[in-house]
Parts: sequence; C-alpha cells; structure tokens
Amino acid sequence: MFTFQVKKLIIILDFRQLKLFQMFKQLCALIRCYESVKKLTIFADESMIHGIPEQHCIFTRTILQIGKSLRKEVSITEELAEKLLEELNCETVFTIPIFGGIPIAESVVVTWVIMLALTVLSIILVRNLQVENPGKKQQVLEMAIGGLYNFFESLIGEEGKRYIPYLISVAIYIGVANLIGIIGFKPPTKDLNSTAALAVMSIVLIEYSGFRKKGGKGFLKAFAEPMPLLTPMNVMELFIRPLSLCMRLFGNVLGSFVVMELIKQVAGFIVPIPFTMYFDIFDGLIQAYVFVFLTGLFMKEALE
Amino acid sequence: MLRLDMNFVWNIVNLIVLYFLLRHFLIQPVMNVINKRQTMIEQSISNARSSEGQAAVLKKQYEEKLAASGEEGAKLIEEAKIQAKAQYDRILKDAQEDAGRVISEAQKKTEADQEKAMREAKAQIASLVIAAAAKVVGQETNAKANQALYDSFLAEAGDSHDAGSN
Repeated sequence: MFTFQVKKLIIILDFRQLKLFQMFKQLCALIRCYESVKKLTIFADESMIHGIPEQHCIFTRTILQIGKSLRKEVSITEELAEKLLEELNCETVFTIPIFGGIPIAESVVVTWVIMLALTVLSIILVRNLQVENPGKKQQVLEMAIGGLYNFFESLIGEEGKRYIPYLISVAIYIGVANLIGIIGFKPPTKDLNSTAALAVMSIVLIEYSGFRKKGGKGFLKAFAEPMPLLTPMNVMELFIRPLSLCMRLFGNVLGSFVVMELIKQVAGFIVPIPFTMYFDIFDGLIQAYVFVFLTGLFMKEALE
Repeated sequence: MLRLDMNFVWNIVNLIVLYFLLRHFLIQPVMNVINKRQTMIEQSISNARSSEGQAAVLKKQYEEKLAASGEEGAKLIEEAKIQAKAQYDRILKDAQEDAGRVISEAQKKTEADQEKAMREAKAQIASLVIAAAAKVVGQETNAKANQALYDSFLAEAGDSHDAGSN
C-alpha cells in the first residue's frame, strides 16, 4: 500500500500483515528501486509503536541506516500524518459481489445519506403548503426555493426554464455535500468520482440544451462561432469546461478538508470553529454557488 | 484520493435520482404554490382593475343622472309653480264670481222681498180699506162688485193722492 512521487517516497507499512523480516527485505528493495527518490517518509501504524518496542527500535535504526548509506533523507512519521492520509483516502465501503465485485465508495454512500435526508426533509417541509396565509416555515421554504429559482431564471432566461429544477437540485446537493463535513461525514465532493460525475452531467446538460435549441446543424455550427478559426478552441472547451468545474470543486473541498483536519489534529477544541466557518461553510457554499453559476452561464451561452 | 472508477457511474446515477426526487418532492410543490399565488394575485389585481373601471362608469352614469334629475326637478318645480299660480288665479276668480253672484242674488231677493212685502201691504191696505168702506157703507152686498169698486176707488184715491202729493 503505497503512493509515490518522483522525488519523494511515502511508504505505509501495516505490521499486522507482514513479518518484520519480510518487511525489511521489501523495504530495502523498494528504496533501492527508486534511485531518484531523495526523501523517504515512512508512516508507521500504532501497533508498531506500542506493540513491540524493541523491534520498533531496531527497525527504526535499521531503516535510518539504510537511508544514510543510500544518501536518502528518511523520516518516520506516525499518527498525525497517518490519520490525515486515512482521512484523505476515499475508502471503499463495501463491494457488491456481482460481476467480480463492484466497489462502492464512501462518497456514494454519503450521497445516499444526503439523498435520503433531503427527500425526507422535502416531504416533511412540503406538507400542508397553502396558497393563502402561509406559515413561517412555508415562507422560509418559499424564499429559499423561489430565490434559487429566480436566481437561475435571471441567469439562463425563459428558454432555459426546464433546466432550472436540475440546477436547483445540484445547488442543494453540492451545498449539503460540502457542509456535511461539519457533522462528521466525509464530504462526497472530496471524491473525484463525485465531482467528475457532477461536471460530466453539467457538460452533457449544457450541450444538450444547445442541441435541443438549435438542432443538429445549428449545434455543430455553433462550434465555428464567432469565427471558424476558433473552432479548435470551442471543441476543447467541451473538455476544459467539465474538467475545470470538476477540479475546482474537488480541489477546493479537498484543500479545505486537509486544512481542517490539520487544524483539528493540532487544536481540537474551540479553535477549529472560526476555521470551520470559513473553510467548511463559506468555502463550501461559495463552491456550490460557483459550480451552478458557471453551469447556468455556460447553458445560457449554449442557448444563445 | 485521485481515482476514477465505477463510483463515477454510481454518482451520476445518484445525481439523476436525486434530481427526480427533489423535483418531485420539493421544487414542484413549492413552485406550484408560488405560481398559484402569483396567478391569484394577478387575477385579483385584474379583478380590482375591472371593478374599478365599472365603478368609474357607474359613477359617471350617476353623476349624469344626478345632473339630469336636478334639471328635471327644477323644471318640475317651475311647472308646479305655474300650475299653482294658475290654480290660485282660477280659484280667486271663482271665488270672486261666486261672491258677486251671491251678492246679486241677495240683492235680487231683497228686492223681491221688498216687492212682495209692498204687494202684501197693498193687499192688506186694500182689505183694510174695504173693511173700512164696508163699515162706512154699512152694507155688504155684492162683495165682488164692491171689491172692484173699492179697487178702482183706491186706484183713484191713490192717483189723487199721488196727484195730490205732486
């Protein structure tokens, strides 16, 4: 279980599975393998530190010696980084045992939770809606949904009206997904699969709306606008747009998640609150806004 | 961390399902209510407008009617005045006529009464004269002939009396 970069090697060892001797052998082979690696970080798990102290000491010394002899910077990092990495990993929660096993990632499961929560909440909130004399609850609900609706309507205009429900759904979903870190779930938008799915859906919808509006011919013609010279650009945009959408969201959420995890590790009490305000809430909502805003903007462009 | 696999597909499926769920359970009901209210407000505004217009028309009509009825009233009063005047005049005239007739009748009656009284007086005087003459003559033979005789006598006497008074 390892990831590697050109100048840096990170090794995570699981002492429960390997015998110490075997590990030595493998490790040495590994270090020799990557000649270009100058810096070596070893993440050790807890059983190594607490379980067998003597072995640990021998192990550490040996590793450091190997590193010295190979002129490599070797460091052994424990819990903090390990935990961080664990948090960063999008784990496969379970595997459906058909077609040779279909892995279901944590992001998918958390999305299910969000879907369930949103649906139940919707059903509860939407009960007893009245045209006349709405209650406070209904007023807030109407303000939220109506506000979103008007926002998108002003963005993509009358022609794009049929796409507004999707944009509202995505806005709510990303907003909730980004905020769900607060209550302890891993935000699904931290998984590239999730943001990629969102971005692909967006670009499909954008191109579909253009296709539907202009027809096949007009759709293809739109690639040669404003002048034929820019056709390659327009074709590239097909890929750049979803990529930028996907990566922006992913990067922002991942970044803020990493920062928040670090802060939580360093100071777990009260200190994270203002940071949570910014990184989780503000940044999360801004990213949700940016994502749907850009999708709407591109759609408007496609509809023109 | 950076991996793309089958979960990409699951996420797309999730998104589509979530879209349908939210559209059906959240967005459509809320937007329905908002739109219904919107149409209701528009309807009531247009209703108010139309009833305002109706009211304006009615007001105009009433004003016209009011003006017309004022004129009519003035005319009626004028007519009534004229009629009243005419009636007053007529009644006055009638009364005057009646009064004149009553007076003249009264005069006539008075005259007739006078005449009748004179005549009765004459007859009484005649009978008195006859009685006196009978006493004077002492005999009462042919009363009729006497009557005629005394009448002529009286006439002569009257004449003589008249002539004498002259």
